[in-house]
Amino acid sequence: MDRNKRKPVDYLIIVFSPILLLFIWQFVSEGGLVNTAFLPSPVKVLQTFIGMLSNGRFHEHFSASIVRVSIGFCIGTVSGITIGILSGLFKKVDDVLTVLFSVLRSIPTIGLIPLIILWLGIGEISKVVIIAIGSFWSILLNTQSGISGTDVKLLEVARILQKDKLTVLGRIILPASLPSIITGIRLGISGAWRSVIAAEMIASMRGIGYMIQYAREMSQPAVMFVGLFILGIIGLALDLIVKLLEKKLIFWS
Amino acid sequence: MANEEINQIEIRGVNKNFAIDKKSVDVLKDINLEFKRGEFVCIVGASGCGKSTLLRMLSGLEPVEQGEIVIGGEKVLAPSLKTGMVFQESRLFPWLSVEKNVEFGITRSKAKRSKPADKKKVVENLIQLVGLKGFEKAIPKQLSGGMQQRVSIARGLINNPEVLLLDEPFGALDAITKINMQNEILRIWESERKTMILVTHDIDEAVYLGDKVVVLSSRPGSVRKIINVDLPRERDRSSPEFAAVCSKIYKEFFKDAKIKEPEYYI
Repeated sequence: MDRNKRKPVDYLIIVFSPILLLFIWQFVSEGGLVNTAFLPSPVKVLQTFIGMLSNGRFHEHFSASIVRVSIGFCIGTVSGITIGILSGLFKKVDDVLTVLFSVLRSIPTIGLIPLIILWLGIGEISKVVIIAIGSFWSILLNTQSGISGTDVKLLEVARILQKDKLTVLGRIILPASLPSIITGIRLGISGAWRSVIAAEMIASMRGIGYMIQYAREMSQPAVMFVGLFILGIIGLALDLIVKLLEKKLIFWS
Repeated sequence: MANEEINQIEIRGVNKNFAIDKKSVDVLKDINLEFKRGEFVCIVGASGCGKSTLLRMLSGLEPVEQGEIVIGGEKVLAPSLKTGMVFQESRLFPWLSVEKNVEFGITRSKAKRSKPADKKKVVENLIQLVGLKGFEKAIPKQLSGGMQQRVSIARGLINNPEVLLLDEPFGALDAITKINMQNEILRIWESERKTMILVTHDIDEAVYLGDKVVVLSSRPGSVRKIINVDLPRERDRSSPEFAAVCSKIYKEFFKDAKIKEPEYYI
């Protein structure tokens, strides 16, 4: 434990190293060492961001992405948890799905985008479906393994006490697999976030993915950097939110 | 029950074998035992002698394939609310408070659905009985090993079983906590008057607690000797009489000149 304990000086390093990097970047970019058409300075990126905030352009793209991710992620979560519970509980369901799912799961979500556009068009539905798939697999797998990994010793207690199946599911199996399900949700959110950008880059007129893609065509590198920063920050924020949720929900670990 | 019951628990001709690597391994061989209502029975044996398996068969967790076990006139075929069980690990639900863990034990039979108020009272009384008053809201990870085992005992008693089975319940506790818990379980036994069957590898524990000590031989486990401990309670571990009973059991173990791994006899 002692080795991992951070001293005040360590925190200084943690905070100041990225700031230092920004300064170097600013210096390199504004000092004419690199072409600003490739690497706009951080100050320029920030100015662009403020400009996009005030003229509503940022909000338009940002909200489009967030809405899609929210809907797609909810669908992916609900279906992942449901199928995960069923296949974790009933061996028959697992037997039916196992080969099919092993193959489907191995297809990168991005690879499915053309097919989904063919089937569902380039509207909102296809993007939501892509996001749902992007979050589905990790939630499914983690739910499944949580359910089937429930401590046999606890299940024996239920047998001794002659508990019915519903009680065993609701009061033992589900809480016992909650940590695993939340891990799945964490991976699922990041999967959803990845796939929304992919979908928007290929077929969209709005969204952060589109914004980045379009900025390249318009030679607006600062806008691309705004988009990338936002992707990083939102991705990190989502991860932190789920971690926080995990701490609250899994109070016993 | 008014009918004259000679023995509450009868184990007749029980054998058990497990398939390990496709080979059948004998675990228990020709076990015949009889216990009276309210007795405190300790079963001692080396690790791997099948004593826990025997207890699991008594609980209905492990099927009885050869021979039969009868408790209170009924053959054991599956777990029953007539028997409670306490395991070596407390097996508490880590997400439930002490109170809720004990309450979880309540299984309502269709015949007598207990009212919520009664439920609360029963839980309260049991928590009091095991000496955990004031810890109702704590969750298991906040409790010491001994306290967790107290919760487990309360849960085992909640359906008011006729028999409480204890599978090395104090095996994982430190020496001092263990002695405290032994006194606790005696106190509970004296106040509740349940039949208690406790499996242990600790000879001292068996002699301290049991009216009757069943000594099992090593694999396959068979009954080597049944020793009635007639010492008055509260027993004095340092008395020569106590030591005499212990040494009698030790000698039973060491009769097997071939097996001399001392770790078996701790």
